[in-house]
Amino acid sequence: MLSARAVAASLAAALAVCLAPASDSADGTRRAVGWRAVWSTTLTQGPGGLWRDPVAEYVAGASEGVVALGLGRGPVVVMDAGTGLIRSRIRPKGSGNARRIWVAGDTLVVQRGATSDYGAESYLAAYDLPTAAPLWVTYVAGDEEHAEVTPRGVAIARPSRLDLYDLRRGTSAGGVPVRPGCATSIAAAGAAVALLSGCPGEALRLSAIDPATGRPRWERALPYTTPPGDRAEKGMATEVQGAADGSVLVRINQTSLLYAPDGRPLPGVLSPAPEARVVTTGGVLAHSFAPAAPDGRPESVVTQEFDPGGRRLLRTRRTGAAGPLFADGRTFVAMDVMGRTLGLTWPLPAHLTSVDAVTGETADLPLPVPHAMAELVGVAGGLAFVLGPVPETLGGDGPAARVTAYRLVREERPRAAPLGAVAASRWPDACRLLTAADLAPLGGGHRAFPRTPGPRLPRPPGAADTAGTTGTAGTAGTTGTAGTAAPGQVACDWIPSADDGTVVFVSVEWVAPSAREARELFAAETARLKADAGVRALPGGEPDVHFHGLGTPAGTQFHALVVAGPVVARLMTRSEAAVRLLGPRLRDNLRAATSAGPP
Amino acid sequence: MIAWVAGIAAAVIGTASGVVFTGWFNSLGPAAFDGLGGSPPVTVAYVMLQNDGLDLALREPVTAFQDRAILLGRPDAAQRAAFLERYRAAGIGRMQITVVLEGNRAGLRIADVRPRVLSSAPPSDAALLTPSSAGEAPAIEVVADLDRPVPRLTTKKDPRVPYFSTRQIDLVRGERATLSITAATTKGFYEFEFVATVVSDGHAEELRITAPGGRPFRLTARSRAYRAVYRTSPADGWEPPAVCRRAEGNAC
Repeated sequence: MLSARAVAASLAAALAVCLAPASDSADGTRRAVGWRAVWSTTLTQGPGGLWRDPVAEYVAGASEGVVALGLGRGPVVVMDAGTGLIRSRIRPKGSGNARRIWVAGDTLVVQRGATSDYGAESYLAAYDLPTAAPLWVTYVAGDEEHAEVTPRGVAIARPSRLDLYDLRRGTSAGGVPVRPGCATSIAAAGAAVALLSGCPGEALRLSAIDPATGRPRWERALPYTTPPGDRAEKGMATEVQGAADGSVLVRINQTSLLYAPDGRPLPGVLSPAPEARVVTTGGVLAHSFAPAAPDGRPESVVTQEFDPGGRRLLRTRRTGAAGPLFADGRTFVAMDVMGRTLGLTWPLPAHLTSVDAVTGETADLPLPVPHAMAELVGVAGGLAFVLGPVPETLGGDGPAARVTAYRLVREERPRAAPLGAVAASRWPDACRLLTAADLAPLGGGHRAFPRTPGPRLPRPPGAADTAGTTGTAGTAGTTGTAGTAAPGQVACDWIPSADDGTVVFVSVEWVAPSAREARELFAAETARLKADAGVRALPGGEPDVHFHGLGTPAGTQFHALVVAGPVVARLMTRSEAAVRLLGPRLRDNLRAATSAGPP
Repeated sequence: MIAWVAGIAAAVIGTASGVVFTGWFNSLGPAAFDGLGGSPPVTVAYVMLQNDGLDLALREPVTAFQDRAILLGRPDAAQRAAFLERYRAAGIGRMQITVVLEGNRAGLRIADVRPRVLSSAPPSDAALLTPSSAGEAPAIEVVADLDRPVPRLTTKKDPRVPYFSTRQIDLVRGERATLSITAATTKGFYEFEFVATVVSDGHAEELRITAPGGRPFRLTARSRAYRAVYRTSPADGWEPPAVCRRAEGNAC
């Protein structure tokens, strides 16, 4: 096992951020090549509108058996994880939006309360999952109290006491007193509840409480002292998170301390980032955090993977997104961002990244929906559950939501296509999509500069395939961006010769396997843009071109989203006249380029 | 005591918008995970510059096509960083630097931290890069006035009182101290670093604290006039005000 890990660690170092999941090992290995939709369930809402934007107003819980989804003020819908069939609709006992959902064995617990009022009271309601029968209800006061649910019981941190309840009956299972003036925070950590308590002038204490008995499984003092007296509140920002295997993450002043399920500290981890997350699966702990780039732009997320048993760092990976990281079986899954350009995510379709916790094999593979219309809400039983609005219902009174379950498809292939779609050679060169004649009306003198929508785009073809092999077994190997068959120049800036000229940006947003798939992606994104109140609609009239303006504090950027053949591209400038002139030119040039077919 | 200092910095971090972390990645390397063998008593865990939303001044005008393409276009982070380094871009007036020091001994004391000016010159006036919306002014806890003949860290309340004359920072192993330093100038252009005096086991050692990559921190006084002014563009880069006026009327 250990040597397998050691091999895996060095292999992972080479693979970690490859867009192609292929390794250099012998061909014939079954590699992850795509996500296949297994089922899809549409959730409609009647008049009155229970939610406005499903992606922004959901809570979810998933287990091997069920996916439970709460949307806005609507009922919690319990779906069969394997088929998507709706098992039950659990209607609210009172008002308010669903805030959190826990699935613990045969018990579903829903926390619901008004989200508009700061510190508003909420309630916890428990249900028997097979029958949807209500079990019990209890109340949680405002923002001073915090609830957690584990398979061994329910904990509510109140100002003077940690109250514990039986999961099935809701009866009191005792509690742990909190000394006056001390602050506590809790998190579910496996079957236990991690309790972080800070008393003024004393060292912070972390313990793992068994919610069935109130007894600590372990307890330790942390090398941090809570500020004395009245500084206690604002002096130190602390947070605690737990993982499925009982590992604990403590956040103090934007840095992380990690503890194995037995309470032993993991090696000194530093994550100076506003947020961090911890997830465990397959005996591996993944700790993710998203530091901002030196220039303040969103950059990549760093994920460190540990072997908590051996207290070793296995590997460090960089990914693009800061979304939730889920664990299932021995796989981590997250919705990733491959890159960004002009503040927008790139490319257009959503990508799911899966990482084999043991081997480190990483695959970034696309979904057939725009990134802005997809949210990964859970992973269980080998399926990834993705939520989004139904494009055709956008812009109306209460859009429908759709949950789609995807399964990772493995095939024997020597190498997957870059970004999980088509061969690199089928991506057009962005710098060839506008000509000097096209740009002449803007005053001429433009020069084209090829760009890469970092941070995850692999290097162009011909670059060495050995990046990131610095890691050795058991050390902190950090990989750079590696790639083998990457698209060429997918973005291009046309810079005018004089500072008062118009800068023109073009990005190839996606090359789909077929023109039909590109058109569906374009249609979905266009529907989203039309329904987005923050996007200024501009009169159209040009087929396959959607004009719109995106407002920013610095002014409006004018966009043309264009589809031609299997390609979706975007043109952006500061001038509405220029975007109207060049959008159709871009479409025509793309049509000419794609009708020629792949080389 | 140390928790108190760390606490203040946390409050600063917590309220500041657009906080920028730099220099963190090196700290994730193998050195961050090794034992105690041969490690210095204190390591610089990370250095953070808050310069998002602050004005920057360049020392030379941007005229080369390649460099204009970086200024006006979509360079990657490395190209942008190299550009700013090449033009010795400096924050204007004041900048906030957060330094996290981590103790590697059972007990040690940081007796002093002071700025060391590496070079100075008249204020940069070639180009001003200015955000379209003003950033939030950070809170100040410790101030470094670079215009003093011998710069030192002073308290915010009384710039005459050196910070380390009245207090020191004690650390145990694994504990981190966060210093929130505001450097300021009204007179010139400075390249500088900090030097910490660390005492452990009766020995004093000096620890250099630099900007990420071992580069100096840079700060310049505001010039009365600039040869060129660029504002933030909606494309997340910069653009000259002329373009701004043409597209937006009076929005700039």
